[in-house]
Amino acid sequence: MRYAEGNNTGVLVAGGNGRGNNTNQLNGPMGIYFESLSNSLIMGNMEGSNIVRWRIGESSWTLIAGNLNASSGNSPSSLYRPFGLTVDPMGNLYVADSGNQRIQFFSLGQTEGRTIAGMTGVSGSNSMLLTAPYGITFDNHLNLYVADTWGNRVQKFLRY
Amino acid sequence: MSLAFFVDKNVILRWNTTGITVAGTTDVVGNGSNQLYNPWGLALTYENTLYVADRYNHRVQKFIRGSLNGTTVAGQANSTTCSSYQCLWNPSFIVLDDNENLFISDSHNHRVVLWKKDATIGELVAGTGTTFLFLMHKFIQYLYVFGKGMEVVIISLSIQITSLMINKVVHSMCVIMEMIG
Repeated sequence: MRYAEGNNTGVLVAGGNGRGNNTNQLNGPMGIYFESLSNSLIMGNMEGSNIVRWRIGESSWTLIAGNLNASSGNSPSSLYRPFGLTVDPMGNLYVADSGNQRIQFFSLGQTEGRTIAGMTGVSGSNSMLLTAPYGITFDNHLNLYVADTWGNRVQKFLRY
Repeated sequence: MSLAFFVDKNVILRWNTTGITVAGTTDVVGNGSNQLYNPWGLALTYENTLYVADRYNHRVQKFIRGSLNGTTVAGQANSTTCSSYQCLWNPSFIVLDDNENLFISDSHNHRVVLWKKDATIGELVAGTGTTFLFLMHKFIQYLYVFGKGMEVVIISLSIQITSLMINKVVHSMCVIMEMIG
């Protein structure tokens, strides 16, 4: 990381090449996470339907999840309008895959996601379903909290 | 139904797929204490007190663990919006520090504001009036603030918070976020 003690003049570390889906661009990022081990920003391109890792100091990103060509989808390896994301202490990635009405779990290094909350493509308001989740966080026991934004509620999913 | 993932010999990652509503009333829009309108950002304390960016109600709600009745800790409880620091306007992301001071991405006001614990008014942390939405992330004691076309500040939360906090930037970097809107 670049440290600029006492200096609030920014140093460009990611993006800056206009909105788009090339590997030196970002497209509507709505989720961000700083991963210290890899010294990188993990960003969710909402409009690009993918999650990318941009190492500090590099000029382009590498794909973590979703499709390289920014196509959306509902397969285990695709995303559709991802918003919030987080990473657990083991490095696994969790994505509020809003357009697929689900929370996707990507084990470290895996591009095939698994659904841990909600049902793919099924919008609803019962306890098994989500409408459009935007926000996601964990408590210290890794119980999952989801802001089911368009369902106007916050849902908790207990880890056991 | 449940799914189990074994990612470490000592850690089992599996979640009950039946959710429990811990804030808001399903499919009901309102600004009552048990209601939310388009909630987005979430933050938790160590005691599992839940903070919710109640976006279209222009407020941040606090829910003590086990209670579905929230209290307004930032913005106006009655959904009033304005551009002064008593109000919020489409708050989206929130970050808590260890003393429950609250950093809020006050999106439609194009700024990040700090509401100290029990404060009735916010104060400016970042924002030039042109950036639509800020993303925020907390890493240990650092607050990362990202916005379109602005320099990004990483603010040390370990510094005692004062109104001069914006001058306490210890690291700095920039992410140009090409946002919609």
